[in-house]
Amino acid sequence: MGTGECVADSTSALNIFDEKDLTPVARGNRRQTGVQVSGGSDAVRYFVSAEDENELGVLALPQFERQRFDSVGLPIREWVDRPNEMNRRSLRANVNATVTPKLELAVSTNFINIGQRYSLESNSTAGLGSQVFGGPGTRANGTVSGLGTPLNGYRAWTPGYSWQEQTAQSVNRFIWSTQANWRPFTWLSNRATVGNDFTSISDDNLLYRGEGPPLTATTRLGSRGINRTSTRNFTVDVGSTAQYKLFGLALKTTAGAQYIGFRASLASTGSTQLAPASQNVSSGTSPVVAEATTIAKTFGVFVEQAVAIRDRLFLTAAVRSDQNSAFGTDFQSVVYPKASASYLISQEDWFKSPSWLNSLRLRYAYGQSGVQPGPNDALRFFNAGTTNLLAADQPTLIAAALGNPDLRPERSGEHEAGFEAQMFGSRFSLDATYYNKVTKDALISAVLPPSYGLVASQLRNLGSVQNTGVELGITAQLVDKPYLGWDVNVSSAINNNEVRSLGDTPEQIGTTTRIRAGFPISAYWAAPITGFRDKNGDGLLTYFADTAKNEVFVEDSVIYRGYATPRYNTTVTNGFELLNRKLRISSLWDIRKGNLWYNNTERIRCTRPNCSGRNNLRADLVDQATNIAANEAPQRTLDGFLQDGGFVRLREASIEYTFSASLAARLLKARSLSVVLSGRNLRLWTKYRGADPETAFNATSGTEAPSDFQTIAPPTYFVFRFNLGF
Amino acid sequence: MSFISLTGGLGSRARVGLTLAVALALPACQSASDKILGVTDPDIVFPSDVKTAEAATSLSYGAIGTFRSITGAAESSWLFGGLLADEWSTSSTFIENDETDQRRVREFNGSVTTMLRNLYRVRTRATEAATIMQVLNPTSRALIAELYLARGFAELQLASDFCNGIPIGNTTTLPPEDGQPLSNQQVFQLGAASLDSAITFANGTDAQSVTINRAARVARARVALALADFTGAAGFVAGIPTTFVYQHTFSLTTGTNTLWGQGLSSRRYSVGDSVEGNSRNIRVLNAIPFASSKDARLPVTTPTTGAINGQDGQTYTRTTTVWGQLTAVDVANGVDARLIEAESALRGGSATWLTILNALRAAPPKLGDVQPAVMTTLVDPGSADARLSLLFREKAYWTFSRGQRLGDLRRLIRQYARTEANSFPQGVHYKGGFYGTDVNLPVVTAERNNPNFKGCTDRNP
Repeated sequence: MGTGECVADSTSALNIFDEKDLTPVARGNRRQTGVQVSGGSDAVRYFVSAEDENELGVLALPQFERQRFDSVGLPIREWVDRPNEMNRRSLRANVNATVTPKLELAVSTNFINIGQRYSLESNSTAGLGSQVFGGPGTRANGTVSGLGTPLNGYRAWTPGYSWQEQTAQSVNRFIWSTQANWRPFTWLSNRATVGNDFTSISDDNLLYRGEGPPLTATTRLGSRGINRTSTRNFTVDVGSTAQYKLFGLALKTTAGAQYIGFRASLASTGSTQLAPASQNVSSGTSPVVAEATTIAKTFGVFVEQAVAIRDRLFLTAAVRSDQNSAFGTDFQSVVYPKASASYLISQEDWFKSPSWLNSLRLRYAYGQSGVQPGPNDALRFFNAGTTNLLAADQPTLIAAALGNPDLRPERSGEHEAGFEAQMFGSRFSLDATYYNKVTKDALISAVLPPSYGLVASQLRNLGSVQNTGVELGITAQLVDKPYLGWDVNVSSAINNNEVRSLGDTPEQIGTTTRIRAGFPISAYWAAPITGFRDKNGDGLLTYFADTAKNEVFVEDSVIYRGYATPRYNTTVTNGFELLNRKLRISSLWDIRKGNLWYNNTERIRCTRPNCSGRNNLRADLVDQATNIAANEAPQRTLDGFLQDGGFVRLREASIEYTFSASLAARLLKARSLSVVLSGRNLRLWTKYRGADPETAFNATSGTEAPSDFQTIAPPTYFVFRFNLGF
Repeated sequence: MSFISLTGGLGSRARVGLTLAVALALPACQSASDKILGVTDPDIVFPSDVKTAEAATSLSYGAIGTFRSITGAAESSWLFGGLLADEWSTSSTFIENDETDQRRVREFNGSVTTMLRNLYRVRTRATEAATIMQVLNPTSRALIAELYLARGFAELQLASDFCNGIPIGNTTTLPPEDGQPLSNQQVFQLGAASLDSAITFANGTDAQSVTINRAARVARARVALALADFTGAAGFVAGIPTTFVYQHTFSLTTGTNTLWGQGLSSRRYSVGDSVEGNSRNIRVLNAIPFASSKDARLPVTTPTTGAINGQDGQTYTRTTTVWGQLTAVDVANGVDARLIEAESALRGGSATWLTILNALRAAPPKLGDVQPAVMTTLVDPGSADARLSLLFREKAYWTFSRGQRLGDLRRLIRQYARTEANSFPQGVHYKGGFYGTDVNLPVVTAERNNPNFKGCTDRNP
């Protein structure tokens, strides 16, 4: 357009979410019911609770799809109608027994059952996001390939086809632990805890033959998949604590040992090209099977010495040694020391405390901690598989991991210094902490050069990473009258992150992120758009190789662009209590600043192309420049899609009314009664140009940064809660 | 006076002693931890377990299974080379495919990264397996030869499809050596050495040895062409029957034909043509009209009305039935041998080049699932330039999407004084913008983790 080679006759736009008959979003609902019972005697006490929860997601078969199904007599199965639903039930039972004055035993159990179904959404050609964000901006965009039904603005097929594939998960989890506390002497206590966390997960998917999207030539021939995973996390924790006095000091010595054994086993089977109407994996003509096992064990011992001096100065020193089955063969164990001091300085006679200061505690701590590598990360090994040679299937061995014999646990050493102050009759408290954490041997998945001809990555120990920052916590009871209360809580954190050294690991270069010494880890990098100017005043930016005519300017070099996660985090809660404290109105605000967010959704829309920056004659210049820099300028930079991720969000607001005990008794024969109406994700203020600066299909880990990629923004919740006590 | 204050139980000194003893004894528990922490993961096989002939054979099968991934078992440079050239056009949602078809491939192209990794993996795995085979199973010479064929073929494909500055190092050491960037010519020479080894090992008279020997000779002849040794190339393929095939095969359980999977099945690749756009009104200069020419070797369905069938939801995908879900792909065949002889003859000024082409057209071998009908006899177009165009056009149909077209276009520039402007697709691209100027795939950003690599040495043909 800008070069005059083409002429636009019209521009159309369609936001499917705004169209009543097209939108795949409807009202969901959530219900949670619970009961708790406790009782017993001094010798034996029990606690039992049960909870039942149901959430029906906001995705729903659009009106036009419902009419299509009805018109051709297709059944609207429940997973097609509402693809996202979760049911959760839990039962908890604890028993504590005082066997003798010196021996206490406890047993805790918790059973959780979750049944849920969900649908493909982000980062998937077949997912809803690809279809709903990928359409051309008009309802009249033809029909679904090979099936002839109208697309109505969706990209390649409509939600009814996507959601015909049932994807479900069932989780059964049983957690138990037994604990014994034995105090043979008044100065010595021993404890032993044995526990197990067992989880059984069943993932199932089913697509009947003749249903589903026309993704490939075989998709609509049906498919069935079953994955069964069981995990077991067995722990033993023993320890002894002796308390005594020495040289007039109150001393406490604790020693202990811990063992953690983890095992996960997966067995899966599946097949495609099912028999008509079949739901059975054995009817598929193209079967697949798989098996996977993960085993990890950790054994650690520790000794801790605590000293209390005049109930004002508290000193603690400890050392812990861990050994793990995942350590490299050239590395055997790791020792973590820690020490802390806490000083209630305001209790000192010489401390001249102002009248408004109730107490002041100074504290300092230094500690080391670690992160273990994955169970097989240190090992070089082959995986067994199959291939087809000369038209016959044959067993194979293939290099699966390079391993790293020098792999060590990630080790962090952190200094923390701060104070806690209570003021104005303890109605105002201030908690401030400065921290300086240096992580050495940080574990990262290092990208290997393709020329190695091996795996794509290797877990390595990075040189060092430093995190420094300040955390502030303020609690204030601004008004505290019988008839009126006003309280404010503020927690704020500033974090600086820097890779100090890469050690022997080369710089890590990803598509939009890099790990380079002197910069934040996994920060965003790009060739920057340095400016844009509509020189000819036609309202359209155009790229020209001729610099005199060019209207979008991009640097050649890739440079650091910003943090991938927020540097400044502040949460404010503000509450008012009225009507003699029976009515509470509160709000929770989140403020995040100092990071970029990758608008990968708009990136792919500009390549399809259906983004405003590419197709809309009246698009903002910044959107035009973003598109041109990515798709026409020789640098092909994604810089414009790395957008300001800062926001202010009204995360939650609630209103709670507590009825008087007499009214509760009279109405429901209850001891207490209250009702709460709350809303969550109520309002967002942001410069981010995508759907939501908190949506991402992935999480930040290692060299990966979050990416908003065809992701649907989180819903707004309104919850009515009814609390009843007997 | 006691300086210890305790209440109840043991004597004071004893209590402190007990406390300290417990504390000091705990680290001793660590000595028992080696047993506690012993782990055997049933999923994995250690290199030390490969100590029998059978294990070495399985390792070899793994390497040859990887060899399949650079031909027809995965999205390889057979497809992306075809996108960059004129064999395929994009109808994918992936920008990686679009930018390759547009000849403006970014260095961090994720698909190219995977393809490049697989090419290198074939080298590394074949080298490792061949070394172990010669110790544990030295009498299986045909299998050892096939491993060298795999390595040489990967090197041939690397040099044919990628830019100058391809790092090659010794990757069988631990840690692997960071390779030095080599020119395409140097990588072709590596391929020649690997394929010479394959020919040496495949010296038996059993069927497998004969097949591998012929396949290695065809590949070696292709390397010779790339190195402008036209006479030598013809010598390598002399005597190979036209009916010969060395194939990669597929099954439902081990992976299906990706040329079918990406083309006809997923409709992410559309058979290339000289006219693009759903209205078929965008001219693509230099592109062979693979779809619209209705050639007997490449039956194509070209939709122009009705529902959009492309994966991208915006493009009419032109599909071919050359390959089905399990159709084997020819990695090397007797047709390749004849075409190499024809080029050598044309280069040497012999009229047999046309005789060879017409012989193929008169008795066309089966191509995938298609048995082409007998085709009309070609007539000598008269000029050297037209003869060259005719030969390469015929070759393009005979070798469609078998990883040769991009290398041939590059050779046209390198060896026959053609230019990028009169060889590669030019003009407006139907997905926006204009075709770029790339004539090869880049060695990707991930390779910059090799400190010796600073980007392609050049992007010359």
